[in-house]
Amino acid sequence: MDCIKKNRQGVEILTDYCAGILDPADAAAIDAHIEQCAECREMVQAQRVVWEMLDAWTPLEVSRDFDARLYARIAEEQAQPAWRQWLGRLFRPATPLGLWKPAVSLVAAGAVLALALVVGVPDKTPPAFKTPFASTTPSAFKNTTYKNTPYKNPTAQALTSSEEIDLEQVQQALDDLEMLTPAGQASPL
Amino acid sequence: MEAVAALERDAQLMLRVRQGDETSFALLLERHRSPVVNFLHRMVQNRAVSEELAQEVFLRVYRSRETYEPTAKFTTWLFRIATHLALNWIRDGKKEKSNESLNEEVMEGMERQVAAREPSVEQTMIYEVKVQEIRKAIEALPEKQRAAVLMHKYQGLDYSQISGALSCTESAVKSLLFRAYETLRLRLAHLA
Repeated sequence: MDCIKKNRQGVEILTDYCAGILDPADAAAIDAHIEQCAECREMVQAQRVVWEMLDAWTPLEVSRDFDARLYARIAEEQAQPAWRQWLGRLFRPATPLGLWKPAVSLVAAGAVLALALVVGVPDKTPPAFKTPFASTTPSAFKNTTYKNTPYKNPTAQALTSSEEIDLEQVQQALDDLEMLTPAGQASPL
Repeated sequence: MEAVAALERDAQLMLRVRQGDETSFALLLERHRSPVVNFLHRMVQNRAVSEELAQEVFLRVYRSRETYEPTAKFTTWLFRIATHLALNWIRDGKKEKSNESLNEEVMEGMERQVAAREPSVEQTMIYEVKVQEIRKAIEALPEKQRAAVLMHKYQGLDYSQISGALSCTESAVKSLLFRAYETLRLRLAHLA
């Protein structure tokens, strides 16, 4: 038999051998092998030391009042209202890893949905940009007043609409403003 | 065969608990109280905490009695709950281990040895050193490796049961045990 310690499966077999859980035929084969293989023999001896050391850690005696305290806790819980017992089962389930995470996710999703329904979905359409030239503004700010303002782009068309702004004109105005900014200095905008 | 019969008996007892049979719960408690307490004690290394957590394990078992289904082995389910509580406690960093409690538990072990064989002072000291080293070596293992070794060595659970308790594959369990025992061989070899 080739050295079985050389692969991981072999080490697992040797561990099971040391734990005494191999079937008799396999255990006998290992017995024969370790007589010939120094590496495996060394590993088996080291594992047996570990086993003996772990055996030295003897179990504790459980407290005599363990059962009495447990039954007292059970009785106390049984005396609670049914809704509290239900909450206890929800938040301290017996099989926490299997069911807990999906339950939390579902509850969280439900809470978000409920909140959205109560608050309402906001209107996604952005309001039209209202310029100082809007008709609702005081007459002093009607666009006719600003036809000859120094910031009006001479190449842009005059603002004809008092309610909507031409975004291209805005962009052009910003570009012109940058041209007016001395080189190397940041634009005031 | 005996192990299989024991596992089936546990499932039968738990089904009777589901039907309201309190005596069956007492029988389950009698059978599994000490293994669960000692597993938790070796995980958290604090006697008071281990008994508190063990009580919580059995409380959860009792609380779940009405919906119990024997889809997994009872022992696997029991140690899954125990492992979860132990890992939570460890990760919450609520260690209250003190030198006094450590010494007290070592003394208990020594008293049992004294009652058994009246060892010499030297043997008593050797025992104390060994147990301290083992406890430190186990405590130094990553939590899942620690749980896997304790279930494998002290509870005699097989790979499929340990994988059920740790919610991982059998291959992952073998990997955990491989690394854990390799670490322990290196760490405890000098005690031979």
